[in-house]
Amino acid sequence: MTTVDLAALRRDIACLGEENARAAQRSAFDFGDNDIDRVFRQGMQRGAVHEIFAEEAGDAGAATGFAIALVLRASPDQSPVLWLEEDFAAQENGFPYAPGLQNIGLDPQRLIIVRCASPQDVLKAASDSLGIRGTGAVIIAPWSNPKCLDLTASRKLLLTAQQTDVPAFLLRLGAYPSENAAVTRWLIRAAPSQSSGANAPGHPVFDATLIRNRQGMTGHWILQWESDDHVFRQIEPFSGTMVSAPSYRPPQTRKSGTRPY
Amino acid sequence: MVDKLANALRLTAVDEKAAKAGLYKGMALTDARAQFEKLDIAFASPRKDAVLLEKLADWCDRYTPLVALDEPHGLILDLTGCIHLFGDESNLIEDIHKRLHRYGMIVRTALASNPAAARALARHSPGGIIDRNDETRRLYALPLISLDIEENHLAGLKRAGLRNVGDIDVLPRAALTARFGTNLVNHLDALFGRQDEPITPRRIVPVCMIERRMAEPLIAMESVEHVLLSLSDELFRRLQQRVEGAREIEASFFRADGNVRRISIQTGRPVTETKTMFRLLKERLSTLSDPLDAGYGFDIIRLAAIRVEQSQAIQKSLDDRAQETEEINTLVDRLSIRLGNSRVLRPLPVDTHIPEHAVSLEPATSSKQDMVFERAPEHNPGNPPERPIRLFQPPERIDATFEVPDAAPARFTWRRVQHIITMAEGPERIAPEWWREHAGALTRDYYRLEDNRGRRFWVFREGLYERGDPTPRWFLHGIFA
Repeated sequence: MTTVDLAALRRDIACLGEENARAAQRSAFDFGDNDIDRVFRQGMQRGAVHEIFAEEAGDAGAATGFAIALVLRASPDQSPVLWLEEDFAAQENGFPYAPGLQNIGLDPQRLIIVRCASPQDVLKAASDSLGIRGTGAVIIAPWSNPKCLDLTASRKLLLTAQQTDVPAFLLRLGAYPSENAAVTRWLIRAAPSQSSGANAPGHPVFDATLIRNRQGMTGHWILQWESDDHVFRQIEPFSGTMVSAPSYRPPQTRKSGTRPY
Repeated sequence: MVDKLANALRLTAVDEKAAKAGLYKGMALTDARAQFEKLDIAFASPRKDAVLLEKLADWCDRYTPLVALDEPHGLILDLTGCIHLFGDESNLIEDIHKRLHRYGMIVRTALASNPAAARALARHSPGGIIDRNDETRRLYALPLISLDIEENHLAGLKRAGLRNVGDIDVLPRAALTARFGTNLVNHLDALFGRQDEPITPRRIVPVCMIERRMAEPLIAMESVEHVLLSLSDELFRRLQQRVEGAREIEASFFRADGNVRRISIQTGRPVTETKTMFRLLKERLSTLSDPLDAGYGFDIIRLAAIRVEQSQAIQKSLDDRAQETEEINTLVDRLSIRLGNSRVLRPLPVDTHIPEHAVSLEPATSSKQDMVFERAPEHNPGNPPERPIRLFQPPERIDATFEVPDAAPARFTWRRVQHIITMAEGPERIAPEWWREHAGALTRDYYRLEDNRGRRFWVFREGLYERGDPTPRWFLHGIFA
């Protein structure tokens, strides 16, 4: 009887291993750029909460763009994208604009915009949206640092996301990092673009700092988003222009009470 | 009751006692006061009367869904097909009287074969249930005033020695029309049902409705839910026979004290099963700003499908895709009910060049989703984005400095931060659509700008520089990724 049990157990374990491997493969996405993908050996976890901060008020556009780019990496199909935004965040930083989103690769038909009056509404809508397998991705954009977005709340979101394998992107505008359950945390700044000729601004370029990564290393990259191919491309910082060296300082060293602006 | 009519306070209604004492409607208050020193008066409020009538009409929904207002003091109920629910006519009328009497109201009713006859009989005769065979006789006996005709015509008829409706109805029509106009004849026809006069019900008649009358008013919310559940089972069973699903459902709660509360839910696609509907309804009930109050209990609970739509037979297939779409629709319905239809939106393209009008955000539950965003013709693959990802509404004023007048700004100040421009593209001229816009809209010259820190902006100058506007105004309209 013992032998039978052992054999069954072995089989079970083998199955589990296979399943895990398959799950890992299914629920991961990459950046499409070798250098950054090296940091994430198994890719970015798909069913998880990723947090994206605008470093300063003026970086709201860049942070939003980066979030959209990650959405497109994580779910390249036609599945619906829910954008849950607190009213004040939209008033302060502008409303999502479909033609522009289309320009960077997001089909507006995928978009469902949910306007929420309070951060509580945002979180409730988020947990509902994450609980459904058909959701392609959820962008969660409360304004500033609401009290209700604490460790417990973010952990709940993470658990739901893991169960359904739906990616959640916490877009933090006007906020400073605080402890929560996010799997990765990005600090995004706008970076000078490579002119598309005649001194015209080029494709979106992000100065992205990974300040937390539960799966491994952190790092700092300057990434260009290729809107047509939906891939990131690391670019060398322009030499000789006014690109400031990445003046990265961990936000944790800031006094907790002071906002970046 | 008094009210100010033609600049004098006049009696607008008198009670039984006052009428016996010789006071009458239309009498000046001063005259009445002269006769009786101690007069209880109250000011009339037609507005409040109207509100009360509306409430009463709501309440009358318990008898029939077809209730019309007959302002200022009447209600017309179409009881066709509803009588058997109460046994017979006299039971129903008795029920109305008994219940309204409990609320302290005195009512006069008449049940006749058409609305005009019932109305006239209720107002100008003792009313009651009029036997079909007796109806003509009863109508003939009505005084002329019940014809609702102009004062001078009425006086004319009286002068001719005509007193009752019957006296007129036997006269030749041509002569009547020639002398008193078509109005009188029309009224006569309506009264005798020779001309169909439909009533205009206050509310949309539901396609299908199910109700339950309780022997004892329900107070506990659990039992209310229980009733709702069994009602909706029945409702959907009926809808299913017709291969229909509900797009709008209304639950009505008739409270024992006469109050009626209605709660309606709308969905993005036809709902065909209790589970989905019930979840939406519960969601709605839990987010009501003014929660449902059972008070003394509900004595009738009704569930009605207001709007239905052909439902595709639900494929119970194992197709993941279909199931996921279904789940998303449920999610959209749920969020719309909790946050409001105007907060759960889908962008739809609009054919215009004006940036802020190029997208309309439509409630995600509305079903028009056939429009497709086409890639802007001027946007070539490989080109950087031409439109911002976030748009300010309205555009924000900025202070711009420029070196060459008709060119992109060299720097600008927005929200007290100065941005030094390193890259610029433009102008892209967007002219107002004179065939749509109000006069006065100005042409805008848009520029894509990038500052020395890599932030990308969409700004515009209002007005044409060539026209010599001395101080052009600059706005920031959006930000790029």
